[in-house]
Amino acid sequence: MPEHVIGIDLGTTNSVVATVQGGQPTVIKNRTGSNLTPSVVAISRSGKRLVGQIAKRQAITNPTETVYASKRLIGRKYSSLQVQQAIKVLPYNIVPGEHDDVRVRMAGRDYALPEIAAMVLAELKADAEAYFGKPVNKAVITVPAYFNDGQRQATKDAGKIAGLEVLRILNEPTAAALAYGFGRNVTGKVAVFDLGGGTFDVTVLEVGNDVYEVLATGGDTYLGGEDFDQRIIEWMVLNFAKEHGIDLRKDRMALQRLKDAAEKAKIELSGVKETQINLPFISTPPGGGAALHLQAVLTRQKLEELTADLCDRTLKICEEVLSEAKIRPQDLKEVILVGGMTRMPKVVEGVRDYFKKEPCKGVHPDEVVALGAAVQANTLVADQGEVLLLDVTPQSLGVAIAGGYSRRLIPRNTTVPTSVSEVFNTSKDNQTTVKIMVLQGESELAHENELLGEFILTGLREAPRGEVEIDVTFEINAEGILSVSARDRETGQRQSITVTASGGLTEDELRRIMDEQRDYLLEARMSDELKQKRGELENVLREIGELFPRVKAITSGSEFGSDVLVKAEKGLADARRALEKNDLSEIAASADQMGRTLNLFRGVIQRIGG
Amino acid sequence: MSVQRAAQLVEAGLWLHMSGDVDGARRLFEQALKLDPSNQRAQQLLAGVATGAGFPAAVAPSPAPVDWRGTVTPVVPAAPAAAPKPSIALSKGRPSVPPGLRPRVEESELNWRALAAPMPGPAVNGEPPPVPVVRPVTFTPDATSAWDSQSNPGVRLDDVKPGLGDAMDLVCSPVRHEDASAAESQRIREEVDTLLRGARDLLDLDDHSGAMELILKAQQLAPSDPEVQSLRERSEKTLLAMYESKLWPLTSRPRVVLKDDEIIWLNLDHRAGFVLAQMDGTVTFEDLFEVCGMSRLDTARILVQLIDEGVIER
Repeated sequence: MPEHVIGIDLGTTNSVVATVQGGQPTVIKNRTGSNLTPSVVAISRSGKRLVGQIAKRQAITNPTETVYASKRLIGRKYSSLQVQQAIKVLPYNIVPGEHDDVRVRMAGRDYALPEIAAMVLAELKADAEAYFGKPVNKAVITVPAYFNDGQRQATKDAGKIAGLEVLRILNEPTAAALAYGFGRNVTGKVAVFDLGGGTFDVTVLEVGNDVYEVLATGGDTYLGGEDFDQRIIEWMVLNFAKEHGIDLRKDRMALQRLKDAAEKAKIELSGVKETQINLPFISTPPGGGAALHLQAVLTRQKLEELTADLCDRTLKICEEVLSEAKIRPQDLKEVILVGGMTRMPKVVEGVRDYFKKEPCKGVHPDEVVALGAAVQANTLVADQGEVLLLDVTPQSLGVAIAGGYSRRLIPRNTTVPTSVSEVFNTSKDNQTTVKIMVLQGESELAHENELLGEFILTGLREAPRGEVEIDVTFEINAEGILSVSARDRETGQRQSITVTASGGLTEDELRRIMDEQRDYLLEARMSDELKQKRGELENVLREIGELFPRVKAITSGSEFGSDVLVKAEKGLADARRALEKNDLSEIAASADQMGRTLNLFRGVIQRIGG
Repeated sequence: MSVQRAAQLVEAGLWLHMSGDVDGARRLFEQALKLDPSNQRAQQLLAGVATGAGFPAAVAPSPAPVDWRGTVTPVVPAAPAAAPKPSIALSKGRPSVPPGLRPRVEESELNWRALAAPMPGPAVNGEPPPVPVVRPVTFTPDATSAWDSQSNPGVRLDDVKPGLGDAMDLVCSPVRHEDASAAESQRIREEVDTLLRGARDLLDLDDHSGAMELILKAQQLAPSDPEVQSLRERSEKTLLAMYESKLWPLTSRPRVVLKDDEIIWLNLDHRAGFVLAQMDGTVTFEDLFEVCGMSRLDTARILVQLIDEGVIER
């Protein structure tokens, strides 16, 4: 029997795990019976680590110790614009790491982003193991098409920390197309319209003969279902304030309930025309008095009104991406909808109007990416005729030039493998050295891009500026590894650098975190077992306590009785001591012993006591 | 001694009654009568509790009642018809609170009370009920007017400036202030002792929630008192164990029994409403302790209340 492998859609707001069983891709439900696991991690007041739905439930009441949307930060530099922007909007504590990487401070401890992602992955792994009844060690994990090498490496590191061998990092739209094309012959240009909980991406793929090539990708990392929820929350808050003069946003408990209700109402309105929002006892008026209820009816029409600009934004982005890739909507064969938000009728309508065709239905938009990842994982382990996945460079690559500008050599969306050369000249008289700074990003200004690496080419001939010519070559191989070389055309002197992606963690750090994670899991398992055994023993003690007087009365005067009762009393004292010490082995032994005593008591009552 | 002790128990019982713990109050009145069968106050109060008729005004508790949850039942001072203006004031603004004491009435609470419209009485002979006149709460002495040269033409700040230090010493000598604060401290100490005795009696009677209310009141008066703290910790531990035993096993998933339209008629507060909203059949009691954002004791108390009132079941 082949080993079980899984595909994981590690989302910004929700994650999904899937597998292929009996030739069919299937979503694995989590242990609470849901297909989606919120990508939320928290440390509760009692110091317990919470992951998934339970962490999401307390996100607003425990905002500083709850990490969500960490995908926006993974693999990025702390000093980057995106991280600085995120710091302004995220309520949890984001701090710099030792290598300008991002850390999150929870309950006084700094966590690297791959560690946070690993907590979600570990949860999904555990769900899969519960489903299969055996360990799962291999997975394909998806990332957005625009993720750079560092972000991809950080996601791989997260997989490692969670105890998974990451068979491949797969682009989300590619996974969606794989799932959609599973078992049917799809060819031509396909658009993937992915409106998730926190982000929006649109990607155009060329699909044909089991080859999936990303032609263009773009999106907005701050546009998703949560923005739609926010509009509903604002609407509820405003109406309540009008009626009662109370601002519910000031009360964290009320806000948490509003958020849950907004999401629920939004989901319901994809299926019905209007929905009732009932939040009893949402607020106690200042100064006391009976708690107030929030009761409202939200119609689909109202929701569409409240969110019209958000829907328009998605279509504007589609326009930009398609025009950049020089693709017209009518060139597309299919449009695949991904993400729960694409269930909203207004979104479907917008897509239909813009692309001039009915978007594909039939695969659940929340699950399609994970299903595609599962298909790919299954292909990789089952060695079933390799599906060729051609990736593109998610961002442009270039070098820094005089004046602080960036010269782009490989534009984004270039299919890999690829190689590009360009000639540069010295910018100063008698310049004998030149510094090559390798940049990644779209900005014309060098400092607004990410510095991937740098090296110096020495031994140049002394000459007036502009006379010495240097060949700079960028090469990306099929594995996505970038090599940059610079050669003095006159002397043939050459210098080069290979840029290996870093997720922000050094090897040592990664190893240490993996050890810590292993210890944590061991401890958590022990703690679960301890809790279970304590519960067992406490239940037995309670029952023995209830039966004791009856057994005493029944057996009074008999030698058997006094012997049994003396032993039972000693056992009870030992059990209480074991509970006090909180030692697993002692508690387990005591639970066994007292279990036997309980059976004896029951037997005595049944036979003698009638 | 037992007469004095009985009087203290009556006092503690009154506190408890005002917090809504009628059973706890009854137990303390009974205890007081055991110690001093002739205590008329205890007899009257016990009779009041038994019949549910309430208390005669004469037996109302002497100090201002303090709500154990942290808010303070306001005492609205009646504005005297013609309060004499002092010739000199100590400082502008609110009267100062003696050091080590919390203000007994929150300003916002007072404002709210002062602004709240009174409930109109029942209609008489078809006539609309008379609307009572609301007198705004004013605090006297008014510091601003004391320095107002128009109302006090004889006192000008400029005139007293050179000898200001001496003038202030005359009306507010440190000795006098210490005396006042010592007397206040003594009064509070006695109050705390009374509350703690009542709490211990209730603990002896196994009324832990009643005891907790008295302990929390005592803690409001003496926040850093080690005796109060240790009694609170002990009681919290016991109470939590009691509540958790009612929820056992904590891994079970409570579910809401009542329908939405039944729930809204219950008498719950927003915290209970929040706890209730978290129950969707998938979360366990243990989960609820983690997600509710309240102390474990508060969450457990609310859960037990919801079970007792038949709102949820295990």
